Amino acid sequence: MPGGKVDVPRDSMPPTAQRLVVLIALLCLCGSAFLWPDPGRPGSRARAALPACSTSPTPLSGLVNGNTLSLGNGTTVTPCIANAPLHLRIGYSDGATGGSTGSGTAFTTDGITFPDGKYTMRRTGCALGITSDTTIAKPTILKFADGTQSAGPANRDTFPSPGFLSCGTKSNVYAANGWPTTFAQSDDAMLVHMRLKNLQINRNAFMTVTPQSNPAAPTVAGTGEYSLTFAPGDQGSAGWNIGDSCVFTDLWLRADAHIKVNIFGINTTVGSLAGDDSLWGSILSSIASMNDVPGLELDGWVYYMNSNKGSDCTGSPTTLNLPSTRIGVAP
Amino acid sequence: VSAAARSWGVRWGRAALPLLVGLATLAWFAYEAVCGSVMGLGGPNLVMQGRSAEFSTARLSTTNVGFGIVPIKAGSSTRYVLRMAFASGSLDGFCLSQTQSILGADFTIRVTSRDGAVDVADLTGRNIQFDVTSLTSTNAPNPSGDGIALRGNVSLGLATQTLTTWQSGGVDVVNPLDAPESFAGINGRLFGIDSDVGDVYNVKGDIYDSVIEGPITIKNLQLEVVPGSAASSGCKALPIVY
Repeated sequence: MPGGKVDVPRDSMPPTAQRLVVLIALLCLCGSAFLWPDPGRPGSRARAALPACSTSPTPLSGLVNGNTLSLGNGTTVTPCIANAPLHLRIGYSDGATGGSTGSGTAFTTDGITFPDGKYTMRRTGCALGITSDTTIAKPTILKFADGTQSAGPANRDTFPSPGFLSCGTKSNVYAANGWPTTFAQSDDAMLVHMRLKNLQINRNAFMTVTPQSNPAAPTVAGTGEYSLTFAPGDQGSAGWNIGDSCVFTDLWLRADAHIKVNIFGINTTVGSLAGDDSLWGSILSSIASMNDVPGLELDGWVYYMNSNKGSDCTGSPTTLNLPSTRIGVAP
Repeated sequence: VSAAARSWGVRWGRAALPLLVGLATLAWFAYEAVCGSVMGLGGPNLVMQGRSAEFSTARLSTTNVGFGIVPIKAGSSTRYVLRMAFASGSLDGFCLSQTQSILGADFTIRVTSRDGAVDVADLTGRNIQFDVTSLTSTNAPNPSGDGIALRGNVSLGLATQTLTTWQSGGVDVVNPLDAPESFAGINGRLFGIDSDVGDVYNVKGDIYDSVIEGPITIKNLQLEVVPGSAASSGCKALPIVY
């Protein structure tokens, strides 16, 4: 209609309202573009420098100090270890406190060794001719990421010399060795380096991780923030393969770990298994060199575990295989 | 009013419905952005954040693996998940589903990628991460393996912050799993597993977040919205895709 004003149809808005709606629509479009999902990674943010992880524990002379750890394949690692041990149970009815499941072989290994050797702690009693030497697997003193430190051996009274009338002034092992006493002293809680080769787990195995506040007293519940569990779907038959004939599994576990192998009826804890000179000299050397050592039970708190290939490995063997496994994080 | 003049007018009344749909979509994006609950293709990446979902794959092959416990925000609270991170990887079959309730009815959004051939990659990407709360594995449909199979040196017990997966400029990225940047208290008690190489076979699980960074190659991508709950229509209820 030249020269004329267009009438607004009844079902349309006035031009001003139309412009307003178009403006709103454009703003919506722009707003949607800004609100589109962040294509970055969840929680992505500028990365601040991480503080250094504590790896230097208070040294105890004569023991293995520090977090530079030797592996079966001859290399070393310097891990930053979380204070969240792995409770490894093989041959039991559950991952907490359930009992043993019988006499059938639950795992096999081509040798059990304590590569750091032994440590003899001399204690002198106040009686003529009484000296008490305690031989233990040499403990490793580790510092954990949260700043805590693993325990040293238990402190014990000792005297300068045995005798009826004069034993000297009573002291203790820590004072005699010049060790600090600012951390836990516990034969149970100290960590021992145990090495297995070609560990094959046949049945009834559980791994449960719980964060802990005190390395000297880990509990099944831990601090309660989380628990991480690994369990075979079929406990009766499904197993885990942590190795190969050429693969070592190095464990740093509490010395009160319980182990039962079906050779010479050994049924003891790691600490006491290592704690007798006669065992060191005979049975242990046998276990160290045997193939297919049949294991019945293993129950221990593992703070660090490393599966590594030996120099005799060819190809790329699996070092950790968890078939038919249920993994869960709770709560 | 002539017919020609009428043809230039906009039928705002008739446009009201699509306009309302658009505004509702905008409102939903705004809500999801604020609540951090998003699932979709964000730029070159596949992103799902902040709400429980299900996934499955017949095989995930990768180099440089890190599994570590990390805290995440789930609604207004903090919970811990096992962040399974892979520097780069290929998936033989992939299913990701999330169920939402709208006006009392359950709908499941499902993303799948598969070609029906075993041991042939359907999706590849880098810096793949799944925040897992539960995971199960079997020996089918991919007969090549079952569950987690790690090779090379494997460490268990490392602090999550010190795991290594992907590299930038040939150097390991610090804290690639985005764990808390301190070791104080619980932050020093976050358990991690590190491995050089690994495969994960025939798994189904519950996850909170997932990211697959681009460039992504996806075969036969299928996006479905189906009525039904997770129990009937989620990835865990279906056979593992491959």
